[in-house]
Amino acid sequence: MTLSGIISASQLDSDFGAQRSTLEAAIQRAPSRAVYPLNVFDLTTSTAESLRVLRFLPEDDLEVESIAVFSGVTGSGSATITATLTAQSLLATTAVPSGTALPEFVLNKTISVSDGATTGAGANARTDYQSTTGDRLTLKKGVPYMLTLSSDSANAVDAQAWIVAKARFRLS
Amino acid sequence: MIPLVPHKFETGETLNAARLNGNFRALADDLKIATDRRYAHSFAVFDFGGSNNGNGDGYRTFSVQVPTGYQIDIESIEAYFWGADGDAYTVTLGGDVSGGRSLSVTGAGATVLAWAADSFDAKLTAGQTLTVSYDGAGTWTLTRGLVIVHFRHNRFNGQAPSEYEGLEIDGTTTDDATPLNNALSDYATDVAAEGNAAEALRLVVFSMTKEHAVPTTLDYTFRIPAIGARVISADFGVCADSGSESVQFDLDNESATQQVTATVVGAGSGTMATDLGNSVDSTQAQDDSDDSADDWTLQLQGAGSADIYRAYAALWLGE
Repeated sequence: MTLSGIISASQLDSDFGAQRSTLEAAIQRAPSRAVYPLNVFDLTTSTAESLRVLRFLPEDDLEVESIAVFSGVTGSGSATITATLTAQSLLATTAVPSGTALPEFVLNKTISVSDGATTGAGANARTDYQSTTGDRLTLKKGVPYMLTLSSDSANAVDAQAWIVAKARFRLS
Repeated sequence: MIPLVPHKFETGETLNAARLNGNFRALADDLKIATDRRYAHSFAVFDFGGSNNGNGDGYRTFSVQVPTGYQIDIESIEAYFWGADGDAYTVTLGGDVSGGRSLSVTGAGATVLAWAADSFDAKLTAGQTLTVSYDGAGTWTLTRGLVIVHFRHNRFNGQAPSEYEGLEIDGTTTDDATPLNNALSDYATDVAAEGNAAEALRLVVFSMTKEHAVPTTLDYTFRIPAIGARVISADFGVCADSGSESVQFDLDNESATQQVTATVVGAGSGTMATDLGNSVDSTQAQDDSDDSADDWTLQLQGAGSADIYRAYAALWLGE
């Protein structure tokens, strides 16, 4: 709208509002999804956590879109593999000054997905967190998270997991 | 979306310069926020697996190349190491990183996490290479090492930020609507520039450290979720015992149509051989990461007669 002559209140309101809305729409373009994969070979129930974990510290707020777990080449027999995402203290062995309990984050929530009866290549399971029901989760920037793979079996399996998370760009 | 401007003008009220100026200042502030948020922060995970001082450099080296038309600002680096108590490690960012940068981390035990982080300030432009590596001092044994490189990407690829400052009316102005028109027009121009935000750049690294004494036993497929991303380029690397073996990388879309292929021949003596900057420029037709039928796949197949120790593929994604 181009103002001219006598300016009405509605003209002013309309123009300011339109400009602001246009900018909001512009910045929301190109929300960006990222993939964080974890691959563990020869995973068994006795595999040390250090060998089956991805630790990360996001620098944007991220909306969790999905979490998945699946097997690649398997050994023999069956196994149920699980991918778990949780917020964690960075140094889990370090005691805090006030005691031996570890600090936890208020938003700490564990989510997981399991692939049962893995007996061949390609089995997979995944959970969609974009659905309109159930959990909808945001990973907060500056909070450390960890994605772990685990198995309930001594049968070795090559396991993969990922999370897909989306960063949005907003004015407010 | 409800427009959020400080003052809603009502019919019959006296036009107040302060309120008008306040609305213009709010617009200017919004543009500044938009400018600040033009950066997408990403991190790339380099999973080194385990190694020791007797292994070659290839066990502990990754190289990736910034795609054509992009640049990244490296902001920080983290090291998550599980190594023998007291072992000293140095993580280094090299390649085209000016002067090289390093981070020290000391092992706390084979299954005990040792973590170190530091801020970095390095810019890499299109075609430049980032090398991520580590080494230990003396005799050392690392159970596993994860190095995370945080970087940001300007979604406007270097476009100058807005300098819009709004409009200041002194309350005595009796001019016509021209100043308002001009101020709003200037704002619209800068908003239009913001609207040119391009895709954010991501780097996803798929790596494997499982040894294959018989290379033909290496036949492994990574699955890549459908997120509607454009796969811009791909970097590949192989660490093997000699030049008598190779790894073929095949990236297929959800219809099993090949998007890029490359064969990397081992460089020998545990050295990392690389094939960087493979242009892909292919967009995922689907964006439902929850549907396995939409997954892309990355297959690694070995050939030859000597041991293969590590292989990786780094995909640069834009969305």
